[in-house]
Amino acid sequence: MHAGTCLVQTSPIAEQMSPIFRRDAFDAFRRKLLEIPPRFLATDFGLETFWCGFDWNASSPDEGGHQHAIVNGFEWNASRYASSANERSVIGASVDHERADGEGKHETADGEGNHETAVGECIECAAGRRDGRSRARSRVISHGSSISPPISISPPISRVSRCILMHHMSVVHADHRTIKSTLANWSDHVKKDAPDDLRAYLTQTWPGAMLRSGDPVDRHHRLHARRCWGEWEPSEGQLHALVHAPLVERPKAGVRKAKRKRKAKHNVTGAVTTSSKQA
Amino acid sequence: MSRSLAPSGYDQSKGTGRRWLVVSSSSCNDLTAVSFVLELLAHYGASAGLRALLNYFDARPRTPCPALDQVRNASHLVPDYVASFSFVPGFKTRLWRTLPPELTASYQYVWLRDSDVITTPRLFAPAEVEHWMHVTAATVAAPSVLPFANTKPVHGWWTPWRSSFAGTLYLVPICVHRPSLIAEQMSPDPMLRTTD
Repeated sequence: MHAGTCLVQTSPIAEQMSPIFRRDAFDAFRRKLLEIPPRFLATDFGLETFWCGFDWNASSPDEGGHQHAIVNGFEWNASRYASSANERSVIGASVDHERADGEGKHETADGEGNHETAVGECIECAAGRRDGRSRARSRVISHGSSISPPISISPPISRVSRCILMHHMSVVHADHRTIKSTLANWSDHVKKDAPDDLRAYLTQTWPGAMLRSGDPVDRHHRLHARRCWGEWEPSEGQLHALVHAPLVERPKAGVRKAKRKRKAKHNVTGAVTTSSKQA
Repeated sequence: MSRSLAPSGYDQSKGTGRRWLVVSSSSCNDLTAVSFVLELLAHYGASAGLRALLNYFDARPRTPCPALDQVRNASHLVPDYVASFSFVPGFKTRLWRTLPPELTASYQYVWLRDSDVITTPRLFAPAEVEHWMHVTAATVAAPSVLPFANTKPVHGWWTPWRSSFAGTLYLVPICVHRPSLIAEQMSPDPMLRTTD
């Protein structure tokens, strides 16, 4: 039907609206949360990245002082990452080359500086399969050799958190709350006008976690998000939602304006009208 | 097309008992959120072992809290499916800090759910979530988010992880088949003639 469409996909970001934690992961996340000064908690922007990459056991700051994440065998330096977009693209290209070879080691760095190969990190989806859960084959790339374990073998538990996005599981966002009620959710104890930047704090305190998740525009992020399981086949309910929900991106304002202009120019009678500005 | 959302072969009995703790925070005046929560508990309280911790961030002593009263009046749901009420003021991150391991220890999953999120069994199945979190060894899972009405995209903007169905930044755009009684003249499929 649509070969290669992921049913479930690793994601560097799980937004704050409805994350579902494994309980032990939540407890670990909560411990991290307690380390954050309350003044930064007037917002949750930044957590969507943080909880997809923090190390459960590492101590702060910087998860045991380890500033270098190992991504596909390449050392990923936090300071270099932050300093130059050009260098970032160079690193990204190298990572991509490694992946293209199909022999790239995929390692994650733990908080102590030891690197372990996370088998689950390298499972890729097999395109063109109907039932992803039962028929999808996983390809495990490990130090140049490929083996094919059944999907039922659970990947080893990693100490680094990992997010998945389930494309076939959906919730509906009613978005009924008013600005007034949102503002009411701000305690008197936090600054209402200019809350401190939580994302900057997280990046500064736990750069490993933020880098493991990646930045939405960088190469590593896209590689990370490419891992997938299964193939999506909509249920009747999902099809119903598909038919009745406006799931098409609206054209940009400029495009809409141009369309209106064209429409006004060529009206029903065929006469060319002048725009309001000209009038 | 009519397959269940629950994966085949999945042991449904695993979905019983206390497995999910849903943490949600809303205003005392937000009666819409109450209806969403009650709907959630009615759908999944028994089948998925789901319990709710409901926080009312603007509740004050000796001040009416209509939302809280409305939940309490749902007597058929509250005793079984509401784990507790809380009154932590401030942003939801502050509420999350107050959830100690003693509270979460009875559960396998903690769902930090926004109060304006609607769940329906047609689109969401806890058993499916459990299955995929197990298979992928994920620690955090997120469903995709659909807009509610034909008015606007969620929050007025559009992000890749908010859509199940649309082509996204990372996915190949999908195509969905539907049977149709008509095929317009513009592009008839030759196969239609042979199958007739």
